[in-house]
Amino acid sequence: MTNFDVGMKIWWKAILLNALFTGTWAVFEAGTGVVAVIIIMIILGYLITLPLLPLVMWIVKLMRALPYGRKESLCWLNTMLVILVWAFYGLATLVLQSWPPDETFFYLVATTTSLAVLAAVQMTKKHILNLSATSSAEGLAQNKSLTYV
Amino acid sequence: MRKEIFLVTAGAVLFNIIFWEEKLGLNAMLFDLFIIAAIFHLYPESRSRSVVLSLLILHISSLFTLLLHNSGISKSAFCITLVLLASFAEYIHRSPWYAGGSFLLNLGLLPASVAENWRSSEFRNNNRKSFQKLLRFSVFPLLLLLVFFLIYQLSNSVFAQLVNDFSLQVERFFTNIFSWFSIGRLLFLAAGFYLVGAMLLKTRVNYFSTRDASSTDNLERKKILPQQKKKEAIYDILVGVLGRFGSGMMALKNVNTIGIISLLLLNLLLLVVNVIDIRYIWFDFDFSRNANIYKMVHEGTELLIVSIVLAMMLLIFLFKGNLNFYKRNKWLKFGAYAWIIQNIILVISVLLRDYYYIEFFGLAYKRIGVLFFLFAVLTGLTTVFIKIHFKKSNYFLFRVNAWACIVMLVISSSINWDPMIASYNFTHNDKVPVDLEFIFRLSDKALPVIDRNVTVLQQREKQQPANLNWRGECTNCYTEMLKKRKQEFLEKQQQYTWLSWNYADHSVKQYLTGKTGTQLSRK
Repeated sequence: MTNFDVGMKIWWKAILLNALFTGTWAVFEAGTGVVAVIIIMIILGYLITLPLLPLVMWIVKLMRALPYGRKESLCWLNTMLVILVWAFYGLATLVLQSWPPDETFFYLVATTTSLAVLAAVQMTKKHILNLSATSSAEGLAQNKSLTYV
Repeated sequence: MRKEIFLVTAGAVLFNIIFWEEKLGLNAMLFDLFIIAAIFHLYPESRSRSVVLSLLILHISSLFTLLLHNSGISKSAFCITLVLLASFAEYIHRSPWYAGGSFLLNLGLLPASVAENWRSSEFRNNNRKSFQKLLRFSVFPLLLLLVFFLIYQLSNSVFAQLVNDFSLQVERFFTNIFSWFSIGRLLFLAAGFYLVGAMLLKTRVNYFSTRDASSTDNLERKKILPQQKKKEAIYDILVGVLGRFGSGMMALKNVNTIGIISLLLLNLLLLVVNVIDIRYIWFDFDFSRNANIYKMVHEGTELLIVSIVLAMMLLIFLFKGNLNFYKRNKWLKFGAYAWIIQNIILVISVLLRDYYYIEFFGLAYKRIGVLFFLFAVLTGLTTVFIKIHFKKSNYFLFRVNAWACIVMLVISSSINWDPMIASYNFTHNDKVPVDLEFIFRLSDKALPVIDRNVTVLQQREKQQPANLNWRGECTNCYTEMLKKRKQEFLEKQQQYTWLSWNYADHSVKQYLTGKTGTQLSRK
C-alpha cells in the first residue's frame, strides 16, 4: 500500500458514497426518475474532483509523518479531509456565480459530502492503519539501524 | 472527561454565545478572562515566566485600546498578543517568530491533540466498545430498511402519504430548531472549538521550541568542512560568480574584498543621493517651484523604502557567517557602519518627504503607515549595527525586531486614527482641500467629526455637478451620503447587544442620538 493507493481509495469511495447519500435524498424528493441524473452526477463528480486527489494523497502522506498514535492520526486525517471538502465548496461558491442556488443547499451538499468522506475513511481504515504501521516500521529501521525481514 | 477537553468545550460554547452576530467589544474581555484563566490553570509554570508576564501586560493594553477605540489596528493587536501569549505560556520560547510557528502547529495538529486527550478520558474507556458494537450492528439493518422503505413508498400510495405527513412534521421540527440554532451557528461553534483548542491544547511536536532553544544570540565561529560548504545553497552561486576564487582556502578573504568594494561603491552612490536630498528636501524645500521635486516626493518614497530594506538584507548576507571573525574585516565593518549611517540619513529624507506630503495633502492611512514603517526601519538599522559590532546572530536580529514590531503595534493601537485623520484634514481645509471621497471611506468613528464639518460638504456640493455611478447612486452628494451613513450606523447598533459595547461606538451613538434628539425637539 502506498499513499497513492490509500488516497485513491478514499477519493473514489467518498464520491460513490456521496452520490448514494444525495441520490437517496433526491429519490425521496423527486422520485425514481432522477436515477439517470445521479449516474451522470457520479461521472461528473469524479471528473470535477480529480484535482483534489493529489491533495488527498498529500494529506495521507502528512498523516504518516505525525508523531501520534493510529487513532489520533486517523482523527487528524478525518478533520483535514472535512476541511478540504468545505474549502472546495467554498471555492466553488466564489468561482461559480450561479452556484449554490441558496445557503441551505450549500450546507446540505457540504454536510453530505463530509459524511461521505468520513464513511470512506472508516471503510479504508484498515489500509490506512497498515500504511501508518509501515511508516512507523520504516522510521524505526532508519533511526535504530534495524532491519526488518 | 479530562479538564483540557472540558475547558476547550466550555470555551467554544462561550465563544458561540458571546461572539455570534456581535462585534468585538465587552465580549472580547469576557473571552479573554476565560482564555487567560484557562491557560494559567493548564500551564501553571508559565505564570512565573517574565516573558509571559510582559506579553500579558501588552495584551491587556491592547484589550483596553480595543474597548476604547475599537479600531482595526487595536483588534489586530488584541488577536496577535493573545495568540503569542498562549504560545509563550505553552512552550519555552524567546522569539515571537518561533512562538507563532508553535501556534500554527497547534492549529494544524489540533484534531490529533483533541483525540489524544479524549482517548485518555473515562468516558471513552467505559462506553467505546458498546458504542462501536451498536454502530456496526446497525449498518446492515438500516441499509435493508432503507431499500424496502423506498420500494413500499413507491408501490403504496397510502404509505407514501403517511411518510409525506411524517416528513412534514419532521421538517417543521427541524425548521423550529434551526430558527434558533442554524447550520451557520453550528459552523461558528466548530470554528470556536478549533480556535479555543489551538489556544489551549499543546501539541506533542516541539519542533519550533527546540529550534528556539538551540538558537543563540551570539555568533560562534564554526569550522566548515569543504564537504559541508558544498551543501550550502549559496556555495553554488558564489562559485558560479567567482569561479575558483569562491572556493578553497582564500574564499573568505575574497568575499571580504568583494564586500569592501561593493560597500565602497554603494556608499558613494548613496552619498550622491543623500547630498541631493539634503540640498532639495532638508533645506530650501519649495513644493510649488519645481515639478521634479513634486515627483521626487510623490514617487520616491516607496522606492526609497525598498532600497533601505535591500540595504539591510545586504548587510545581513555579508555578516551572516565567519566573515564576522575574519581578522582583516576592519574596512568591511567601516563600510557597513557608513552604509548604516547613510541609510539613517535616507530614512530622515523619507520622513521629511512624508511630512511635506502630509502638510500639502493632509493625513491618510498610508502616510501614517510610512511613519511607523520608518520607525521600524530605524530600529532595524540600529539592531543591524549591534549585530555587526557585537557579533550577534541573525536569530538575535529577527527576535529583537519582532518584539519591537509587537510593541509598536500595541502603541499604535492606542490612537483613534480615523477621527484624528478626519479632524486634521478638516482643520487644514483652508490650505489643502479635503479629499471627501477618502473621508467617506473612514470608519463610522469619524462620523461626528464629519458631521461637525457639514458646511465643508455643502460648499463642495455647490461647486460640482452630481456624479452618478452605474447603479444611479450619487457618489459626491456628500450631505446625503452622511445622512445615510448615520442612519445605517444607528440601525447596525440596534442589532448588537451589550456584548458589543465599546466606548468609541457608544460615544458616536451618544453624539448622533443626542443630535437627532435636538433636531427633533427643534422641529
